[in-house]
Amino acid sequence: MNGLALRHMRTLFRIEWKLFNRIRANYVFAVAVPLMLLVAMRSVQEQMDLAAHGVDAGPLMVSTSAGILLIFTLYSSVTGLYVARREELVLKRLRTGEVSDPVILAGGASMYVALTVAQIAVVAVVLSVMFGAAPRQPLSAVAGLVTGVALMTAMAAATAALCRSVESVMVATLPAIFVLPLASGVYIPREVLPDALGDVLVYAPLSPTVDLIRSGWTGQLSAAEVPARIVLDAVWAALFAWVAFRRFRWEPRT
Amino acid sequence: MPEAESSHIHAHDVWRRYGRGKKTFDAVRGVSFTVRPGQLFALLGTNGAGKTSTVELLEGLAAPYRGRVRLFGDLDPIADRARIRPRTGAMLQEGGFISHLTVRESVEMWAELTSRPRPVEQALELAGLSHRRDVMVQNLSGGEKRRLDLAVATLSRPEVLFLDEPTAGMDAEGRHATWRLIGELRERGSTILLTTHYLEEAESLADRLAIMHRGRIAASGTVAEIVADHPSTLSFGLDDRWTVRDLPIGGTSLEERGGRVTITTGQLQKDAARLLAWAEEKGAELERFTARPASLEEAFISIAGRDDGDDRDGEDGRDGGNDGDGRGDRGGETLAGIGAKQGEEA
Repeated sequence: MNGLALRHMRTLFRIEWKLFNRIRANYVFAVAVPLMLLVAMRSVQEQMDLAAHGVDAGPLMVSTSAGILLIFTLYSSVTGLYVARREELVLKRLRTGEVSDPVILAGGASMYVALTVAQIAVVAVVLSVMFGAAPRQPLSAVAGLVTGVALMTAMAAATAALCRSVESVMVATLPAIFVLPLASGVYIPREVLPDALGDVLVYAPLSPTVDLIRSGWTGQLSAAEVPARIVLDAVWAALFAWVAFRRFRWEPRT
Repeated sequence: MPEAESSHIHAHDVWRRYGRGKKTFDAVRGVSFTVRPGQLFALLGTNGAGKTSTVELLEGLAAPYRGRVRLFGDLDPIADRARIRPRTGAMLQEGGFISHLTVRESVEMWAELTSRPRPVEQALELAGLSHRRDVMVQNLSGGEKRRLDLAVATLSRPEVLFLDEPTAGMDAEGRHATWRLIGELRERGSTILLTTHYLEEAESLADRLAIMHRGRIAASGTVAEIVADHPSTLSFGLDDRWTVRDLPIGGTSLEERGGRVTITTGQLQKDAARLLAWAEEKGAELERFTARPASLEEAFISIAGRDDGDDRDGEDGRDGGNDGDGRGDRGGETLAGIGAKQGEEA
């Protein structure tokens, strides 16, 4: 990315940050969601008898929290952001200027990327302390976070491409909000599922992210498995980016 | 293409197609024109004539289905976007600002996204928005939003400026502020393409203009050239001693209504001279005699009233916000669509 693109990114980030701070309720969203998540998931997963399946609760909580935050804070918000900015003709207006198309999309999403990463970092630290679990493969966790951010942003652009209006965002994001956490091991670890199902769901979108982040604390992935998971996540991200490239609209349908 | 090389804006046989299969329609159908450096070119037309669809092709917001657009001689608005944008400014027909930012914040944002912008305070002042700098965009009137759009479009003192109905919805003061700003840019040598509904605006500002009708350019040139193709008018009242049958002018359109005679003619000087000579000879009084060439408005109305027998396409242009529902796939080009068009162009 050249200097001009970076300058544009910084401006678009600053604008979204200003708008985020303008609505006080967003602070509740930024702080309360991770807190509620920690409490809720702790109680749910206590019911699962994780120890019997050889699953360590601490790392699992980290990957679960990261998955939920990626879906709710990043994917859901950025989808809504793209559609809202399109409705206001802001995206179209930006395209008349010097900002490139990828930077228009990345710049708008950057504030939510930063917020999500910050939330995940705080939650990961708190859980590590709570469960006394130190990271064993920190690079694996970082790779999981990076690929997860790329995947969720590409998915948001692809979903926004299919939305006609702000009102349709809620419906369009439902599949990802309900199905994705179930399929990718965010809500229920694959170890708890029947083996055959678990083996298939390894390839689901976001599964590699969940595995990589969890392995950051457990070290469960081998040196060969880590790059394989990264590639798998990258393939999903590329697929959604391709859908966005094919279908994304810069102005409302009339 | 020598004509393109010496121009700032050049469109050659440009088409814009919306929809697919049976829903296909062409909003722009073979439009060609050239705007030379420093010229102000106005695109006139009724709602749905295809003005905005054309401007979007020039701005590089969409790729032509067919034809070629070039800016600054040899640059393609889509393929050479990065090179073109620092030299152009654009004012969309509507919107494009974040409603929860103030006027000042909006201009500051655009100043940060623009190479060599003019100072924000100066931009606000020129657009007559200084007193509204702290007002949220969502609370601006329609005319004030147009002023904000103009402030942003002219922020970089662009070499080429696209103005899509810049004064629509503005009060008189706003309109004059806009004209002043356009005048300033013209003095600096900017090339300007504007679309407008206001004929007097086009007449007073434009060096050359084109009247679009149903996706095509129906007439183009200077105002004098356009009106020359339309009949002039002789008008007068006749006293009771005479009827229209006594008049010495034949072969022209003649109408008598309410004691007043109106003659439309393609030979204004000749017919006026013959009529006045007849009146002098007969001692007839031609009350409130007027002889005048066609106005731009008459030319416009005459063109707009034409039915070229192909209604399907023309009504579906994008001007004036008259697009109805049920035309699902028309809005907005996709990234892939633009890429594909670039490929075709290459």
